[in-house]
Amino acid sequence: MNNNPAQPLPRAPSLKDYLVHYDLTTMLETARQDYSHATSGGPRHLDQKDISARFRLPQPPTKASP
Amino acid sequence: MPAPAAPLKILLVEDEAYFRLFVGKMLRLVIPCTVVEAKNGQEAIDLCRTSDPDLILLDIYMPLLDGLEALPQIRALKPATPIVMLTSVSEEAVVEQCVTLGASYLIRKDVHALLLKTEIQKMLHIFFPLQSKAHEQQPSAAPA
Repeated sequence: MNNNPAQPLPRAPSLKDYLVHYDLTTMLETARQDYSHATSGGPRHLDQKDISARFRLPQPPTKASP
Repeated sequence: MPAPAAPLKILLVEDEAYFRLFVGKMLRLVIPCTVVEAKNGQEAIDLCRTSDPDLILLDIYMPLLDGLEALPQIRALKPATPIVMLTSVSEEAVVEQCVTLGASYLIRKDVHALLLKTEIQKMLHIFFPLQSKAHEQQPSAAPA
């Protein structure tokens, strides 16, 4: 407890203190830079079709002749 | 009438027990096979030294010895055996690495179970056409 009259009581936080301010223009520019840079961003993920194309698979069986 | 194809011996290398159970059941459903399990790359190499699997399904992320470390050693032991990477890794660089290290194919396991089953069936049809076809033609193999 603060019993010292010389020291002011701490100000109670208001909702304003919890507001988060987003600078959308800066965020958009950062995202644009990230995604247009060839060296940045995550690794490229392949779907199954692209993966299959990387492997030299045995030829699928042709229809058996009668 | 021709004799039915012999069941395949499949070595399933996967550290997650639930996934070994799941894939093992799926394999037995789609093709006549016996499934031998290994929990990491080292166990897989040891099993390859003592047995002769027809197909090896190999995960990448595993403790002790991962799939990419085990792959060249297994390939050296089994030059003619299809080694199929069964993994959630789909990064282009890793896929290329698998090709270089001697993997026969790669199936993404981070997909819906039905899609995974389809991809496994496709793979079996490519590498083991006789066994796949024989199983498909059995009345009990028809979907319920």
